[in-house]
Amino acid sequence: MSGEECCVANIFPKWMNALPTAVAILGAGGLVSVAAGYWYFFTPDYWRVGYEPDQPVDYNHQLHAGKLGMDCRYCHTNVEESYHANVPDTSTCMNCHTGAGETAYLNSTLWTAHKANPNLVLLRESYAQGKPIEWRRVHKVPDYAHFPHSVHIKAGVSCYSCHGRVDQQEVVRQVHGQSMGFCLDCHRNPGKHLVAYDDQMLTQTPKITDLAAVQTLLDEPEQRRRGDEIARTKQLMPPQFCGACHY
Amino acid sequence: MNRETIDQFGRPAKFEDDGSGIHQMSDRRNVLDQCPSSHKEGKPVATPASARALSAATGKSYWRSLDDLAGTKDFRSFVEREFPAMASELLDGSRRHFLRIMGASLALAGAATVPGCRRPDHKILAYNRQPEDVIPGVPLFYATAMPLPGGSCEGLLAETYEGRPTKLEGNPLHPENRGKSSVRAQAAILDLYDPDRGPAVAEALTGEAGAAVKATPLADAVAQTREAFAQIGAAKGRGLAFLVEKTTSPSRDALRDRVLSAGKWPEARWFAYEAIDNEGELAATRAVLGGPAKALHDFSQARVVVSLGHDFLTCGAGVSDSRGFAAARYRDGDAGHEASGSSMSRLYVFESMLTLTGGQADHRWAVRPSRIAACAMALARAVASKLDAAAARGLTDALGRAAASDGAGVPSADVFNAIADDLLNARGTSLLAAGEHQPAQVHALVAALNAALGNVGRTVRYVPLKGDAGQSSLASIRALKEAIDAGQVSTLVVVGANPVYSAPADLAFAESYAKVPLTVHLGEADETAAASKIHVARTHFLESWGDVETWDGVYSVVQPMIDRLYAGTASDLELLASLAGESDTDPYFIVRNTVRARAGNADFEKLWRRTLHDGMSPAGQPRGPAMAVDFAGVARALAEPLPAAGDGLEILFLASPQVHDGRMANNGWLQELPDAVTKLTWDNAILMNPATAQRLGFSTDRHPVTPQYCHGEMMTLSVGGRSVDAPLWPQPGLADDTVAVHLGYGRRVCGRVARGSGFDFFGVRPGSGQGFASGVTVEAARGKSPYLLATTQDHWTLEGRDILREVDLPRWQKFGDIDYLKAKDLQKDPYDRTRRLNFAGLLGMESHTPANVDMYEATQKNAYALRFTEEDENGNPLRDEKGNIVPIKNVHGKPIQQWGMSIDLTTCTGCGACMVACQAENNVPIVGKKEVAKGREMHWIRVDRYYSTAPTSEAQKDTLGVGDDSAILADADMMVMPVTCVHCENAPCEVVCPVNATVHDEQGNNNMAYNRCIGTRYCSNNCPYKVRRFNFFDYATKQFRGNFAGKDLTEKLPEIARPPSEHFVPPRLRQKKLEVATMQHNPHVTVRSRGVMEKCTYCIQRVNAARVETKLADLNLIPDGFVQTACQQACPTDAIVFGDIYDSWSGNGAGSRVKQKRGDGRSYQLLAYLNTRPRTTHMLRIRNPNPALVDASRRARWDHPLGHGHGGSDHSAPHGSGGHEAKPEGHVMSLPILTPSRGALA
Repeated sequence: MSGEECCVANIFPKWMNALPTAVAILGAGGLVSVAAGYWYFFTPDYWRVGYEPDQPVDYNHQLHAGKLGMDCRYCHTNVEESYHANVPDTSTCMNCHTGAGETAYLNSTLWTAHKANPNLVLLRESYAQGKPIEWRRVHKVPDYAHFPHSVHIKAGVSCYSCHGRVDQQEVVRQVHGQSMGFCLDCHRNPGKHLVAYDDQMLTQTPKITDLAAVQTLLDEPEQRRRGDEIARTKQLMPPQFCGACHY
Repeated sequence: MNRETIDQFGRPAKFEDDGSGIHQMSDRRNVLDQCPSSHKEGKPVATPASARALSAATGKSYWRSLDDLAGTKDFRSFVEREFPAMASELLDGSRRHFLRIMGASLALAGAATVPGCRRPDHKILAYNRQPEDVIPGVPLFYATAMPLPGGSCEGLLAETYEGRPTKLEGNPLHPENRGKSSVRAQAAILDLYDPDRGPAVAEALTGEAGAAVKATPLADAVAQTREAFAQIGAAKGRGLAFLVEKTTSPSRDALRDRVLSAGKWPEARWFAYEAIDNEGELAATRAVLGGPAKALHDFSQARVVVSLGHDFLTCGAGVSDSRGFAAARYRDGDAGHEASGSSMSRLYVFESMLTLTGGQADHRWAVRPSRIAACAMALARAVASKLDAAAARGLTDALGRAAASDGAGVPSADVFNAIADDLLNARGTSLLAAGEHQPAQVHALVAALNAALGNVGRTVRYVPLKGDAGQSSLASIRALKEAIDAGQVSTLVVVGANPVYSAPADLAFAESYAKVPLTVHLGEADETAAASKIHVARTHFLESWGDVETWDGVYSVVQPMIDRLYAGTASDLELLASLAGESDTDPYFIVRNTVRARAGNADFEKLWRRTLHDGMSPAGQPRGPAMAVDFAGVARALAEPLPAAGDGLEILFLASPQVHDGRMANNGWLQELPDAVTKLTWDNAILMNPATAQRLGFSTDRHPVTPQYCHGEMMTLSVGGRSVDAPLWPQPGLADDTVAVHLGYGRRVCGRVARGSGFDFFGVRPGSGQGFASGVTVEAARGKSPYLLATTQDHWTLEGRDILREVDLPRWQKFGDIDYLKAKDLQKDPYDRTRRLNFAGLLGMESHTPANVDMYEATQKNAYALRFTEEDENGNPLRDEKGNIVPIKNVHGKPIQQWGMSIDLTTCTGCGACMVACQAENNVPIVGKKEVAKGREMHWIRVDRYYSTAPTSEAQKDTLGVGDDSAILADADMMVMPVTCVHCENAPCEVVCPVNATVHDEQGNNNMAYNRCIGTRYCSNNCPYKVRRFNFFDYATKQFRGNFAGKDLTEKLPEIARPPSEHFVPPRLRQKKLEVATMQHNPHVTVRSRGVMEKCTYCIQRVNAARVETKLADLNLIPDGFVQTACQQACPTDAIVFGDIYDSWSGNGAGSRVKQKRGDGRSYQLLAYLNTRPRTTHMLRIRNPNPALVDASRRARWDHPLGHGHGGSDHSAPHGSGGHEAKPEGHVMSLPILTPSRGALA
């Protein structure tokens, strides 16, 4: 037999020795990027805690709802009647920021501050031209889920339970991932989040929209007993079947 | 010895009495095996010669189509597929083709998918100044009215979300609607958002080469015509002509009067025109009543109704006739007791084409169109001979002077004598009606008979027609044509009408139209628009102010719901006022002025607001004095010779129940709504009785191309020298030697939806024979390949299982209140549970099957069942000591409402309003003709149409289903049955879903969570009712017949490499549904994407909204009637009832309406023996035949509660299959209800 025939041919080039390492590194990198990509692209947006888009008008909830103590329902007027907690129309803003007619306001230092405020300029323009302001949506449940605000308020679920301390947020941000688990958590144990609610109105203490006070209440250890009692008296039985929200 | 036979559909064909009155099976396995898969191929279970099984209860055979009747092998293989055709079409081609398409699709999908996975920025555009009363998310309802073709209206409520109308409902206050609505009212909302309606789009539309339609904004149109109208003004209107569609709008009438007044254009000519008009009635009432009039019928007061070709139940011409008829048909609690008698009305129908009215008939005769007059004459003579001399004098005189009529082709004299007797017994409460395609003589005879029988003023009222409505359309269009040809018309204004398309064929109107120097057209982008010099696009009735009156003078304001979607469009009032140079051209002020004029001394503003709020004037003004029948006029009308029975074929021209005269042709919902009788979608066809077709030598093969699709052989139909090529569709129930065609299809210039749908029979309709014509020839069109017809008649079939129940009234009266438990000793079943069967239950399979056993016991004991239901150990609901069901309660001891539905087959006419209402409410998409042909239509509720035939002789029994027997096929009865998800308590779909996407809720609804569905379609496969619909493609989100990226490129590819349809293009590349089209969507219902199963939800969005509303009002329970499903709300005959089935607190303790219905002896469950426990129950149909016209074998059934025929020679008659028994073999029962028989049933 000739040497060529007897010897095992050197069929793999030398660089092949590095192949397993390269495959391992690339494979690990690939896995990581797939996982990262999956995480990034497939995380439902409704879970996106911390989503905080810039708004066309830098409306400051901390100032209005927090410092000035305005009731949420002053602007979100239909939250007790509708599926939606409506974004206020421009004329609601103009109730205060009228900029015209109110002599006292026009003579105040506040007006001096407001006059050139770019946000208020935009607001006044919108109002004068009849064009709506294009707010950017922060909280959204998917199209295949339906959430009625009205009946939740009626049951005694405060704004705080889903939206957090909006009165402390300069820019509104999503504080809870609004996944189905988040909903069901409360629907299975409604007592955790129920506060007294009287739709006959504002005599109730604390108001359901008083986020700070509600937070204190809900953090108290006896909340569970209190909430269960509310559920019992109101005969609340939050639905847990698919058709309650998905239709 | 007990013997049973199973026919090929698994139904028991023969039972024998064991003496107990209850039929029992010795081997229940045979009975229970309903599964077609267990019938092994190659082992026929019944000999083909007696393929048809006869219903045990009625002795009839029920079939959906000729293929079903014949039971061909192709048909079997077709129905056995879950989705009838081409469910796996990609694999039908070559493997290479499949790979090529998939490769291309993947590449395109990859390219298209990468960008933009994250959530797009959602904008919220709040109001600038929020209008009072508007709460975002809460709908407001406004009253409006929809003008109907030819006049009158429907009073509607429009549901609007933030100023966007999404749904129309009947106005409960309006006398025409009373809260109900027709198919067209339900579909009208889609027209509002029709993208093809605007001027911008109309420009791009071309139905055929060179027929582009360019819409001119109103202001431009006025400017361009100013000079012409100035000249006309100078000439006092000479040379000006108007051609307007008929309407009963007082504002338009006033405008017309002003335009034609002495100071304006007195010499102008005004023609009112409708393509499909009631010429016969107009001519007859002129002669008989002294002026044009309209016969208004009050069917609710009529005990005996005779229709001479009048199809009053076809929805689309208002709903009051359907409602009245249903009210007289059956009232709850009315029958079921022999002693109480019955007020159920009886309907006799003489007609040529099978219609919904014929389907409801207790006796129906299929006669040729020309012979209806002879029938009317024979009936009149029979009545006159039986009436006492004084009452009959006028009638007898008129008949004496009538032209001779021959009796060929009409039923025998016995028939007319029997009807006459019936009519005479119901004097003053009988009603005769003549069809709109019938000549004046028939209408005159009917008026004379109504007068002689004392019906005028009671069941029939004649209201005079003023102005436009009283004009003869035929005379109008003829006169206009003559005027044009004589050069007398220099300017023609066409309002709404489409004469270029619809004018009588022998007028050659299009040629004359082209000769007019200036033509201004207001309307759709249609044939006339294309032929006009100036075309102005018309507003939808929900976009502009208008007004309309009903026939008897109830005034409604047509209130707009939204600003016009397309700039430059105009309403008829606006156009006329603008052209006439009126000071008020805003229709709002025109209508207000009309109301002001009508207000008289009343406070105008108050009246105006009241009219708008209620949707009609508080007090209707009768349109004229009551009219009396003048028998001398009848004699004059009858002096004209009656239509003779011609040789050869006759053709009957019918308005399409869907698109009417073509004006609704661009409405996808109506195009896809299967015709109530033919079940054709997207097309019309030459309809002919199969026996006639065979006699003429045509093939009636419905599947000449492929066994999966229906095709019609192309025929050339010629009438008076003009011809049209169209497919032949064999149609049972048609009179022999008669061709029936639906008008309104085959539009040449039209929107995207209507393009290519159907054939234009206006092209052969002669002016002399608007309704029907003789001298028709039909011959095979040489060289034309068969035409695909998308029919749904065999879709979603229950494979012949015994689901239809009907009885004759006498039997129901005798046995209707039978209660099986009360009547007999408690019968124990192997599970020691008692059975309770009512009358309807005893008629069906349930009486032969062992008691129901819970198939899914394990799954029912889920968390909800444990927490919320109270059942005994057998799974039956608990009952208190009085036998009432103890309601299911929640943890707080509060009852949970349990939803259920009842569908009444006695009052359902099959009009299809429920289907379109459901489509509008639930965002159900249309899929297009090809997809329908594949069995992919998405309607959540369907209306199954069955023909039924009762063989009258042994010989017929043997031939039934073998040949196309003329007598049987012409006299086929019709029965309709709406079927939707029945929300089984033991739902077979739920146990097979791998992802729990379809599950039960505590209210008994079978929920469908779209977001969970992964599209395995197991549920649909396991559904015995075939009510689940699958989104094979993106029907809902992508534009219908829309464009897609790269279309130009694919068009360059060879055929084989192109995507088979736009559906195969990756969704991201396809054009999205236009925003304007998505505006119709109900915001409370998810729009489903592809790959998702869907089905009836019991309108759960309405239930949930009602629950929210009751909770906000501090109510614990939703009151009965507070929540209505969309189908129920629309149903003109109130056949559908929805509510809480355990509700015992409503109705003063009687319980909810649906609970009462379920307790009725007519109530039964579909396929009850499967123990699915449907929440939707059906109520059997009662027919009310005249005993004098019923044969002995049918009458014999009236004495037997079960209808099997007990002993005697009668026994074999209903069961039929005589000597053809064959034991089925290879039965495998897959469900655990199969048990060995035990003592009691042995």
